Amino acid sequence: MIKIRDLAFEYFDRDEEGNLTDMINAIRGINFDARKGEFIGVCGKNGSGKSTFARILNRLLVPIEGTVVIGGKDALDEDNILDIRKSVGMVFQNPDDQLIGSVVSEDVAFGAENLGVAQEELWERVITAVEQAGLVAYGAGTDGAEKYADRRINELSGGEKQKVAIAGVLAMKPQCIVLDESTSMLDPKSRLEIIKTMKQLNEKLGITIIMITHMMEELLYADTIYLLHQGKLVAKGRKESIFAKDSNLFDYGLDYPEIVKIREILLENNVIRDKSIFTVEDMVARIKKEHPYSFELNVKLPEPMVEHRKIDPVNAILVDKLSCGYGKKKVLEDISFSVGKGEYVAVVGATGTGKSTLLQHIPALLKPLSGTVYVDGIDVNDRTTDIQALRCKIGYVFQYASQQLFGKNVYEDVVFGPRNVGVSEVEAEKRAYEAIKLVGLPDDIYDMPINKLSGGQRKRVALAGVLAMKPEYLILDEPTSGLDPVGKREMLDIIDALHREAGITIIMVTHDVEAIAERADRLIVLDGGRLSYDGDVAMGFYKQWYDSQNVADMAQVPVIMQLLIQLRLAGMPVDCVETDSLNGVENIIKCIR
Amino acid sequence: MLKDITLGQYYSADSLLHRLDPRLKIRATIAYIILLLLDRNVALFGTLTLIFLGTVALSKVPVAHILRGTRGILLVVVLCSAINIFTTPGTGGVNVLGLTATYAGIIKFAFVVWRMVLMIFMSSLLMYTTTPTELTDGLEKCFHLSGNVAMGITIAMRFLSVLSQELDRIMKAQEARGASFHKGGPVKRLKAISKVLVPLFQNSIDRASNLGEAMDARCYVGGKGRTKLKPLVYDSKDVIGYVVVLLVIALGVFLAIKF
Repeated sequence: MIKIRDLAFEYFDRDEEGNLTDMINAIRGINFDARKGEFIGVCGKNGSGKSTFARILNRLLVPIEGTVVIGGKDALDEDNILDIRKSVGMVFQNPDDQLIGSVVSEDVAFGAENLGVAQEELWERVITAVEQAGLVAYGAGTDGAEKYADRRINELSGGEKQKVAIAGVLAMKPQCIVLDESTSMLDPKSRLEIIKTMKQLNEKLGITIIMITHMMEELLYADTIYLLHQGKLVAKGRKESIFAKDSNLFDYGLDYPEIVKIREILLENNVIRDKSIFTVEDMVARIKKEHPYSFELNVKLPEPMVEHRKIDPVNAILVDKLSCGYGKKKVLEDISFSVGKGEYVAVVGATGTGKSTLLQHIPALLKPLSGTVYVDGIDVNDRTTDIQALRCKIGYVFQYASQQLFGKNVYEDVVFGPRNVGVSEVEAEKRAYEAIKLVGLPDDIYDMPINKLSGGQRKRVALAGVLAMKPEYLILDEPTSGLDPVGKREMLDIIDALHREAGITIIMVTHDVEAIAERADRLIVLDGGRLSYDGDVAMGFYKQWYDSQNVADMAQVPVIMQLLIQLRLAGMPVDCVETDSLNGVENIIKCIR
Repeated sequence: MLKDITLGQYYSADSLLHRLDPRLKIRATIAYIILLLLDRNVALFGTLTLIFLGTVALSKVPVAHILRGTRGILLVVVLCSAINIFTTPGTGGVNVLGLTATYAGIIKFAFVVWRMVLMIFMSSLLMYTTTPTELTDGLEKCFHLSGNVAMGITIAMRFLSVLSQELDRIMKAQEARGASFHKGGPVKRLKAISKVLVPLFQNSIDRASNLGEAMDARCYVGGKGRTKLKPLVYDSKDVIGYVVVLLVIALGVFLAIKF
């Protein structure tokens, strides 16, 4: 269906007068084949050229060399543009930047309207696409789909918006769908839903799927995986070979899926001998087959235990009965919790549950409808409170770096905060230099213009800008979103160092459950605008799953806990409240007879 | 307050007003505004107020929602028209802060505000009951615009909410780093706000180019050859609607001349 040979693409950088200043080799010498009905994963770290590659598939970019044949048509021929875009649909990364309509039906129809599909057929296509994209449950009937088609885009969650984007592509009846990191801004549950939807479209309708991603777990759904590095294709194969022990994924800025890492530990400990397991379900089945006597009847799940914490309110953030929202529609309701000095707290919850809204109340960026926020014993909304001193004490790093970088270069940006609070220019400069060092950026970056920075560097500069305020508490909203595995690890290590060495209290919102399991010492769970859990991390994850007992919610807990819970459900009396892979495997070994 | 602006945002509900043809709604709104400009008398304004209230009831849009979405503009209107109180010549008046507020001035002020409020409310009601796509389809037909211009309007309206969201986030991010938009003299405040505009502009361009790319990917090549999911077709309720609008115009003209 798609055949690409010797592909090359370059980005030209020009100065204001149009002279060539820089030429970046984005892609060189790539060969690529996709059969009809194949599910392909394309991975690589940030800057490896994978997004450029995606755009060439949809002919949003034209390569400088090579041949691209899609569905038997030469994609480089000017006359075939619309045919190519019709047969290869594209779903982009940001749910907020790709929807055109303001109501679901209008957006889903947009592409089909452009193709000139007759009006009677348009409705039919919209309804079918809404069903196929999994926006309404199967069997909800046309009524359900019609009702959904009438909803406003603004009211949808991030995951739903991405599904609307998928529906919009489906209404054009494509042969192939390209997903360009389409799940990277979603919570784990929505992420899994999107992948499963794609798998279904692939299996039921025979649509070719090309998934660009650096989430290693997602690649497990692919038939074939392409690994890009510095614009070149370095490996191609099935998951067995890509995730083999000797494939050195770390060298390419990538990582192994959690389940593969756990499998290796189990192999080393001779719990299993099979090297070809890639899902939790298969793992449970394999363990059961190899150790049938370790399983019993009537093994029940343990009840989750919730402890009540005591806190010294003078040295802490204290949120007391906070509610916010307007009218009857409450975004947050009656939330109370506290964070003591020196803690590392993670906050989780589906997109749109109000995590950011809640935390923005702490540095008084938002005013609550009712309730109070105290920082070190001081009411932040009191008229007499020195708001600048408060905001120095509480650093807030927002999710999107682009919305918090204001200077013309790195130094000018980082120094923005210290200048605002009126420290001397010498002191401001000193703080800026220190902050840039703290986030591990090199000295020669000081006068680099902001728009020349990579995504990972931007996130670091944004963090440095906040650190230059010398905060005692640091609130981080999705500090690793959009970063590849290596970038993610580096960012988390920086945060760890700030916590451990600089003694900064960390409050982090993230969808990365593995990172939380590995690093945080407390978990706060928000659910539908209410606080549903506050306490120990492992117990928090366990309770989150226990309360729903739904397979779809498994994605919200670390993979090792998924395995332990599944084993327990299958009858192994294993301790399943565990988030560390090594300890988890030990728990399994203890149960094996 | 900026993010409270719901102007141009559709309010999803199932009402008679929502189902009317956008062309009818656009023409009716224009007629309403012209009637408001014809004359200044209590009978005409009172009648038009009643008509507005009736329309709101038909629309199922809560009054509180309209008030919240328009209060920013209303504040500006009240402040700007307040000058009438002191500049209108007339006999008799009250002394306010050393300035003379004439009775004629107060009456003129009241009428100007009354008129502007009705205009703003009625046009926002048009926005609330009509999706941006319907609205542009309607504008396209009413004013014979080309498909590209109409699409431009749709996108612009959609971007209003993107811009206000972006502005809100940037201001918050700057406040979190010690910037203050509410303290200091006008020069200091203006300076603080100017620092918001550069990233706002940059980010809006980025987001607009993302959206453009998404439109390209979905085969948008302009208005030619495009079909429509909801083509504009008049039915019986629209015909009745036009009759009602004509009657209202006749009544309005009568009131304007007679009183």
